Amino acid sequence: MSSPAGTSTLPMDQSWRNDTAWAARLTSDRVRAERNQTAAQRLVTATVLERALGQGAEAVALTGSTARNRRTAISDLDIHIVGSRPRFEDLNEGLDLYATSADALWERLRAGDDFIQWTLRFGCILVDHGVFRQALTEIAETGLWPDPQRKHDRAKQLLAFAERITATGDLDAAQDQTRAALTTVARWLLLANGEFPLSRDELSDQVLDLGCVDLAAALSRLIHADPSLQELDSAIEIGQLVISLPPHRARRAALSR
Amino acid sequence: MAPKEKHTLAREHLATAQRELAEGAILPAIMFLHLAAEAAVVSLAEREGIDTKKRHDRKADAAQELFRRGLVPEDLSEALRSLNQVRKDATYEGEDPKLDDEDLEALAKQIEAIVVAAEERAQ
Repeated sequence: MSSPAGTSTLPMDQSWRNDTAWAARLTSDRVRAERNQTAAQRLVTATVLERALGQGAEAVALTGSTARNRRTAISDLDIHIVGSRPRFEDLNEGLDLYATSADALWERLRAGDDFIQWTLRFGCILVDHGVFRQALTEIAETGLWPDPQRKHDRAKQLLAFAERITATGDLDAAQDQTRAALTTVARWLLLANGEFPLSRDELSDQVLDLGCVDLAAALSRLIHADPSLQELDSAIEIGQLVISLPPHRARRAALSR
Repeated sequence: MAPKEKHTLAREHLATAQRELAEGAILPAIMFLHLAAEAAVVSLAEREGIDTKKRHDRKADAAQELFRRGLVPEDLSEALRSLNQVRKDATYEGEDPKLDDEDLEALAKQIEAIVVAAEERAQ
């Protein structure tokens, strides 16, 4: 799928074949990674990096909300590794390690994966032996755009699971699952409307810009407040309504309920 | 529905996980095992004044602390971190869970011991 016109394509406008542009990106990413992490997070990232490289990793990036400097109370430290996943269970930090082989990265990227594109667009590249640069070059030159249908399918599954967990009465787990589901709904809606989704904390503003007021409000509550089970039921209902409609109508779906 | 007590939820989630496992539904089994373990840890942690701040990593840290204090028979912190990662890989990225029936049955036994500890402490 190609990039829709008019979409913010930062940093896709760059010519990544240019060595100077690439060197500037790497320098700027390392500065950003240093600045956006606490001392404890820097230590964990350095440990993961050392272990990953020790196992032959081809590329490593700090990704997610930390890379955007938009961490919330529930944010993990997200690290994207091209290589095998190193041992992490002994590290006392909320870590989310995403590890794939280079072959799997290419396969997923071309199949419309959005997370890999997210890392390439907004992540802080810490080490790259070539695969991230090649992937960025391909995205910039072909206008490759994530496939919204993948997010739609995932959102449907996550909403169903959120509904199931909410019915158990486990408020914490239900909030966690509903937040994951609505985040995915928002990412689908944005991708399908030609906007690249940013970090979780920025999604409510992005969907608000699309006119999806109820989804924006529900997302914000799920991230920053402690909704009741009844509110979680309503949030799931909003998510189900949004994904039941075509993307152009879903933009205003919740408003017209 | 009113929120239930954590030790009750832990037992219910464990029972659901075991049913899913018996039916060969690996992903739901992983999800419910994770929920059972976390609910049991939070139940015990709250009684000990350990704040897990609704964060998965803090719940894993709490599991380690509960073991250190002799309140649970095993340190489940690494199992919790591992289950959390597997569940996220499977649900968000669509990856096949890298745990089989045997791994999950062994984990279910470990988690049951913590659920029992949470139930005993709640009485």
